[in-house]
Amino acid sequence: MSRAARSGTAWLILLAAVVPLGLAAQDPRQIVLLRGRIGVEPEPGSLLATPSRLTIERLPLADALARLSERSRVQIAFSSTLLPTGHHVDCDCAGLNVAGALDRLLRDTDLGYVELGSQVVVVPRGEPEPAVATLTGVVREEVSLEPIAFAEVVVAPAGGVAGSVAGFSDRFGAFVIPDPPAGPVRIETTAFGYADWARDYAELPGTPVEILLAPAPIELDSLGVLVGGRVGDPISISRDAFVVDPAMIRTMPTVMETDVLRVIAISPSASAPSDFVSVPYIRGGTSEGTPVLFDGVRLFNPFHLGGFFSAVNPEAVDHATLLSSSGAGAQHIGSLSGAIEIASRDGARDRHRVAGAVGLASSRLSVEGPVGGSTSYLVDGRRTYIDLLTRGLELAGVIPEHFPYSFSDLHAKVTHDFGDFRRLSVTGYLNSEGISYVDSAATDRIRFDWGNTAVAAHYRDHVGGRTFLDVTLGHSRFANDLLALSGLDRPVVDTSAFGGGHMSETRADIRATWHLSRGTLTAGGQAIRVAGVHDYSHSELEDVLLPLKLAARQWRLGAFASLGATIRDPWRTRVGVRLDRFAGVAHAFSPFAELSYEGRWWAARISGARSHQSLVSLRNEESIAASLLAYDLMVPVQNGPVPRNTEVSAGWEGWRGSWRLRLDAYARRMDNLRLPGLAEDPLNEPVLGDPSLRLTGSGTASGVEASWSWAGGPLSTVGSYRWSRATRTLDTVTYVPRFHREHELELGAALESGRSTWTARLSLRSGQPTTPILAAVPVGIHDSRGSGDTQWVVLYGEYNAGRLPHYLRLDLGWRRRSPVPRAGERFVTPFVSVTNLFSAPNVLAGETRIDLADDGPGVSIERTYLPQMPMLAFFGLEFRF
Amino acid sequence: MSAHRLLALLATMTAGGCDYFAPPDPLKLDPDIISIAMVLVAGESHAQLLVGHPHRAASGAPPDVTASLIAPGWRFPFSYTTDAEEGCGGGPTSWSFPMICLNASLPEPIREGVTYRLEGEGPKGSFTGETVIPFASLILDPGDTVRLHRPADSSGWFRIPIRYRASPEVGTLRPEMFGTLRNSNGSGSRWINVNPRALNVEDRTDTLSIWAYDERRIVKGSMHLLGIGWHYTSFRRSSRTRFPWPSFGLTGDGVYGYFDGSAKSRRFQVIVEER
Repeated sequence: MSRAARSGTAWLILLAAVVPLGLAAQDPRQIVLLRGRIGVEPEPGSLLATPSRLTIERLPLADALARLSERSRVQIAFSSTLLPTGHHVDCDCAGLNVAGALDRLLRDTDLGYVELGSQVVVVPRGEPEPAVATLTGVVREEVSLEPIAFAEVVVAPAGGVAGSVAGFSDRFGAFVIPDPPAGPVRIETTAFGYADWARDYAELPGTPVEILLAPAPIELDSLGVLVGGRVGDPISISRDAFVVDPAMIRTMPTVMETDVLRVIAISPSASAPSDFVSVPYIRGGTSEGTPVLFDGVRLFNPFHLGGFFSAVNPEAVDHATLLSSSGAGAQHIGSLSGAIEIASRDGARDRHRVAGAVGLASSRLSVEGPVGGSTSYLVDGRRTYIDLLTRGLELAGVIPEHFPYSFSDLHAKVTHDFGDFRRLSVTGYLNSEGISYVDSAATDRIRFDWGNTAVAAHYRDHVGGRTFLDVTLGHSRFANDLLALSGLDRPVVDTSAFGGGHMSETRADIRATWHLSRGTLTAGGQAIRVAGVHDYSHSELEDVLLPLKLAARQWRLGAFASLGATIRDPWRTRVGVRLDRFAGVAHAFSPFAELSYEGRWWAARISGARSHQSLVSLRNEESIAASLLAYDLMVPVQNGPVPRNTEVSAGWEGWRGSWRLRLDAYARRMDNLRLPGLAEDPLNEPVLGDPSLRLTGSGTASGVEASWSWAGGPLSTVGSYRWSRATRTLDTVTYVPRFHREHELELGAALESGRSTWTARLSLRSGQPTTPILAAVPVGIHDSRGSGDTQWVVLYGEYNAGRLPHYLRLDLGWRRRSPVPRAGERFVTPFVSVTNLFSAPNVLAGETRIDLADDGPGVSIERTYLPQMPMLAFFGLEFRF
Repeated sequence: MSAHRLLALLATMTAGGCDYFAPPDPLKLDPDIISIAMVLVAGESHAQLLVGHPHRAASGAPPDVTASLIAPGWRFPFSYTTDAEEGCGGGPTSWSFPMICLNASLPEPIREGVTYRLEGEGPKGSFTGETVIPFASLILDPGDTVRLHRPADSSGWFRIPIRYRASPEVGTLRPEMFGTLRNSNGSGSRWINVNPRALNVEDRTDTLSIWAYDERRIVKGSMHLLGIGWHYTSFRRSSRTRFPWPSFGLTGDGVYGYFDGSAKSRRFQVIVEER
């Protein structure tokens, strides 16, 4: 074949290849624009990865390409006019793939190749695009291969720190660091509880780096690690959040059960309404505005024992994040008062492990291990024996009647790692509680069962080197069933209360995160179906539950986007917007903006945000019972407007040596709240009622928060202080909500002594509001006869204008982690704790009783208080095999 | 730092914090407040003011109060004190806490529709009061005299239908009867129980009932309606209500009670005729 003929054939082949790809043949400029490369590392399964089977000697290049196409059965399109004349090639390429063979054939030409559709096209080699360098990778625990979140990864030029850049691993251990320094680099990684990791590279790794960290050779049961490591410091990990992990949980004295929510309350943004309720209220909001999410799905009422401790097994917790704002960090949640996100950990991938604890109220157990090389599982459960314990005490005559209450929770997680950043995890969760009671006279019976089931699946992928894609599907359902009967000994049995219902949420979230050169762009969407069906149409338990019948369902469709970028170093900004459609009720526009300055040892920022949610609570926070029961029933509003939060904040944080200090000031306004009418007597107000019968009110909150951490030798501390104001306004009446405390000081400390760790937690808080009694005055029955009949008039002051006595509590704990003799890496940890060491008479509420004597003139005025938790001792044993 | 030092530090901080955070207990009732009960009666030339320390024990010190009653054209101090146990203008004197009764003989009778003011000084400072004496309510029916027949049934009641109209300044309208009773030992006069004890000021009609078979039989009497103002009425109704309360006619720190006026309607005679 003549050269001209070969050239014409080549053009035909080239055009035949290009036209089906959609590049218009009549637009040769498109073809001309094609540029090829050599040295391509082909994806497995691609045309370029096909074995070439080519062995040639001294063939013209065009013939060589034709032979390659023939031998590899891969169509290779080229224009003969582009080929250099008289160029002969050799290629002993039988063991190479098509890309490798083309590398050899085109080595001494200006040509390259590109895979397009079902062909490989030989075209002029283009100037390589300036590479936008990016370092990506995953940080894992070196033994179990569990992802490590919040690890700091620093890339520095070899031999210096100038020009170094840093990033943090996300909750799946993945990190992306755009624009690292070129040339030889040193990569250093630090993470709480792990030994530092560093490695030198001759040039920046072009593929994802897997960083395996070894556990730190220091006892984890110490805040010293927490503070000394700095990375794990709860106030240094994320500027948006207060992050608690298992080690920090264990460094707080235990209150019956090791509990993540109780530890979160040490944050200055959080405030527990009472000793009996572990769920914290955030910045003047109530629990309805602060969803608790577990692996991305909302849990309803994740508590046990009325709210005394959380229903999330601490064995399963990787970390818990308190987001105090509904702005930047919580934009994807779309709530009124931030959120609490609990992430469960992956199961170990090195070997099977067993851990657990035996405590006074319950025991828990977790089993985990690998399934094959890329999959792991974690199963953990907990069961109380309060019912059995109190039954025994009753039989022994210690208590008059046993407490027929029980709970259990079960959690399972399976994680499959596809390599690089791709992973899939599926979480299942179940908690159940119940009371089954028949009084000793067999006249009354109560059966009350409730619980939450949830399932969540999360898939992560990456698009290109800089984009993560997260998809979460979840479903959660809380159901309850109550039957209370009395007069079982009578012919006609009286039903005191009867009812039940459920709340559920089904959601699909998708989120993409682009790590750009000068910032991070996040965009996502979500569809959430919420339902609240509550039918308690018969209730005589009016101090707890008013009769109600509610059924509401609603779709929430949301889309959000945010951009975090450096304006001009060290000035940074984050802006974003969220759009929501609450089906049948309202549309909502929720923007946020933040400006920050990040210096060498301090940083400052100001921000503003708006957020909405449609779920409203049936709870009446003004009822005293609300401080005893954390449970909530919720429904989506059926008529607009939806509750709205608007907030501004300013913050400063600094770090010097072992100190870290964070200061925040905030002001927020909550509109369109569904507030119950003011209670004349909170002691007798029901805690649950129909929100659709309530008035639309508003609320405000403002405050100054400080939190700090410090470590020195064996002693380490974390602490917080908050001053704040909070109000609710209903019609023309503005009052302080009953759960609010103006001042709160929390101090946690841990002291290491050998294998033992002594822990302490001090809480000092101002009193909660109460409506004061100004006067108790008799009034006579005025008449002409002077009968002398009288009645007493008790005059209250302004609603919640008084303050109960201050709150003081000191908890102490001791733990000792000991290896089991001759058992390898097996440990047992006995623990003892005492809450309210001095049995300080903290009060929940107060009442002034005026007792009138029946047998003559005389009045007795007596103050009575509902006490908070007295001095109690707890002990137990943890084990890890 | 040793554990002992840590505990000492915490104890010190705790002690300091207690002082800072401890507010007055809102449930502790202030022993220095005073209660005031005063209802002026139209037509009377005498005023009584009952003052007490309701949050003090009976053995506590009595209130130290001075006060004056002020009307258009005159101001008259409460000039002398009497033992409250003897009664004090219908005020509540039967409770065992320290109280005194201040008295004043006025230069003229209390007049309907006139504004009276009270000024005084108590343990927690000065206080003032103001009230307008209500106009007498009207009895539209019966007329001047009602003749009743004793019911044959020994468990029966005398029934007196009444039509009335309360003046708008009246919050409590109380039917009252001063009657003559007789038995085999002779006769005497006293106040008779009338039901209902108060009429609804919004209504126009009702039926009064008098028990017909007391140990002494009623033979005749005089009946009227006593109308008392809204300050007293509101105060009675305000138990276990929170601030802001309706007006009780008094203003002052630590002063609780009422300052009000009352007026009696015309009288009609009741004559009982035996069957």
